[in-house]
Amino acid sequence: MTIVSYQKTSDAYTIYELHMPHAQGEEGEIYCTELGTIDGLTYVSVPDGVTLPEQLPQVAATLQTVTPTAELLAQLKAISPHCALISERMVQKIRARYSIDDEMFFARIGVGAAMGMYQPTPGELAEMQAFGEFVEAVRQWGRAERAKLGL
Amino acid sequence: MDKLGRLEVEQLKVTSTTPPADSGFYKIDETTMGVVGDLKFRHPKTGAMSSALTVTSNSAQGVVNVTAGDVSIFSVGPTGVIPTANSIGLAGQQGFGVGVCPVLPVGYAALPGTTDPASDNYGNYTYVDGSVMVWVPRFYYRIGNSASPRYATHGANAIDIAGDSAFRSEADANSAGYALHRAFFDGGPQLGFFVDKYQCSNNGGIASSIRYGAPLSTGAAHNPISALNGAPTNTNGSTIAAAKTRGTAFHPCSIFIYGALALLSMAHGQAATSSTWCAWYDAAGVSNFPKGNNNNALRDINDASVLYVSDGYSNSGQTGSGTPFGKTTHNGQACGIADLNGNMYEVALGVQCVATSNTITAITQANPAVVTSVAHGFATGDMIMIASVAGMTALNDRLYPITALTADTFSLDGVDATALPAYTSSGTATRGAFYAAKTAARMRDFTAGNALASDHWGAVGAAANFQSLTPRFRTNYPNNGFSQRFGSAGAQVLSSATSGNDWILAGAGQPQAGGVSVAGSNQFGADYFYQHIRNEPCLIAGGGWGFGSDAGVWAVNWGTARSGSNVYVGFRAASYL
Repeated sequence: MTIVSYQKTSDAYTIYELHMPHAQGEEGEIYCTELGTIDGLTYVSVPDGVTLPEQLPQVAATLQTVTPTAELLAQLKAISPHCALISERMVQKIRARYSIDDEMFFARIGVGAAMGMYQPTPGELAEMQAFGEFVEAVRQWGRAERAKLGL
Repeated sequence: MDKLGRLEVEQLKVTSTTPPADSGFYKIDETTMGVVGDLKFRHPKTGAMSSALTVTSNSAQGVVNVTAGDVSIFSVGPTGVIPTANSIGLAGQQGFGVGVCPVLPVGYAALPGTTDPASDNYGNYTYVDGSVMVWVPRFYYRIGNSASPRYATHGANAIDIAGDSAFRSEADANSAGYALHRAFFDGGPQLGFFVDKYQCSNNGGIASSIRYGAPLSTGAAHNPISALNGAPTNTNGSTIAAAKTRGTAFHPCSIFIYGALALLSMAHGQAATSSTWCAWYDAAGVSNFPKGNNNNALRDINDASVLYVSDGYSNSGQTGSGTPFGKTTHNGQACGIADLNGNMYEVALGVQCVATSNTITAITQANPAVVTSVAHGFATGDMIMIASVAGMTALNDRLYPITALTADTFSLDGVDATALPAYTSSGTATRGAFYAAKTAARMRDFTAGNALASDHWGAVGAAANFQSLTPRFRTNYPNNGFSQRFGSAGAQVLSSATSGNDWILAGAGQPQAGGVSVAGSNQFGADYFYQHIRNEPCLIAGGGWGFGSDAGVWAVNWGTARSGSNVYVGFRAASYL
């Protein structure tokens, strides 16, 4: 996955945008995805194997491949609607198995155990173990989805 | 009219003058009974006889239309004569772009508020399967006319819409610079059309227009049409069979219907002055068009306030799930037609192509470039597509006008290849004969094959139900690639022709020469125009959930095949009276 950036320009008639390829007739469509705009630069993730077509001069003048810093990655994660959607889906996945009350329960006894103020029962430990493994799997799914965007 | 029962009318107000020659109230004098025949009327004061009014029944729904020349006088349905204005409304105002159907066919029912322009259900009806369909009354349009009140702002792309009753005849409309939209011909003139409010979803085996459905696709992995009754194959052409799961009167929308809806949207946006009756209105004119699910994150690329509900596959959205809903309809109101910008590409009938490909064996580094292709059979002025050339790859995936030089060679007009890398091998040159459905053809009668007279594809069907069409593809090298966008600075995009090839193109929402560019224009949402020449194309409209600003009410792709199968291609159905 590559991230490119460019500056959108406009005139009286048009906003000049990156020309992205669209595969034809494929089952698994691969999209270039506009992640967002920071300080006037628009960032786009380009899937591996995709070559951007020839661009208009208004776009080509500022188009460049980006090696994102940790700070830029954090900014892009914060503004990208795709990352927001991934986070939302992570919550949905967890909520499909555990209620908010379940999570609060694990939080209460987890804090107590961590502080040495409470000794969970073997049954509670098993439940927390299963909960932790499930949540971590969901988080891994989220990381993988963000990685598809180069984030 | 034995199909409808006895019709008793003593006199009838005739407003046409050509024919009959005299307006006023006419008394029925003679009647030729039958489903198809003539009525004659005698003026009660002058005694003048009218010319015969033609009574036609071109309906599977039990509807008889009475017309004089090209003027619709009245229609009779199972419940008798139903006089209505059949009004499209005023652009920019409440209720524009939909209307009350003058003759409610069998199987349809009004909703609470169907006749109330203030209602969210205005112009909305239900069919027996639960589908919600919207009636779009017949209208006339005028493009780029200096007399338009919108000309000062929108220039050559100023749109005016006039309702069914604005002119006494099509000829009168033409004289005023207006054209009757092509979408209102289907086996002859039509009063309007019913179109699905939502993209089709699987409703217990029936392809229905239901809110919050999971949109059908022609791809096996995403709500496939093969799961419908009769198990249509998962191909774009098989959406014809998929639409028939609701009934024989239904068919995938034609490209003319999409053209009509896009035109209504543009006219509405141009006439609006606030978001009151046009939720997606943008006074700056940068994004003055319907919004949708197109940013690959269940939102709109131009409007972060729009949010869809996932259907569970990738980032496809549930039908009609966009909020604020009015921002996602063609008229910016809850009564409008949803999701024409993105979510799913939609199959569009009405245009086809019979194409042949020839092998290229050489291309000269000359000005103009000369192509060798044995027994190519092309003629000067033909438009061809070049693909898969090795070496001189800059010529690939572009469309060219040619000059035939010999039986085996032709030149590419305007192509200076002197500085291009040498041709090394391979390549094809494809020429297509394009066709548009005749106005006498009925969309519901088309079948999905390529061999029968009723088939929507193939030379036999073309000869039976289609007429020649010349698309105005962009062919000036090097700006003649497949991917274009609607709009080219302030140039006129749609033809103002009132008949002929360019009238058909405008009705299909397709550009006239010079109407597209690589950048596109804000007026047309920079919507995608994928020009292509292939055998048996199945046009698709609107764009998918991840197509960004390429998606939109004008977006169209000429490169998809009848036999293609795509997870992001579905359809919505329509029906004429």
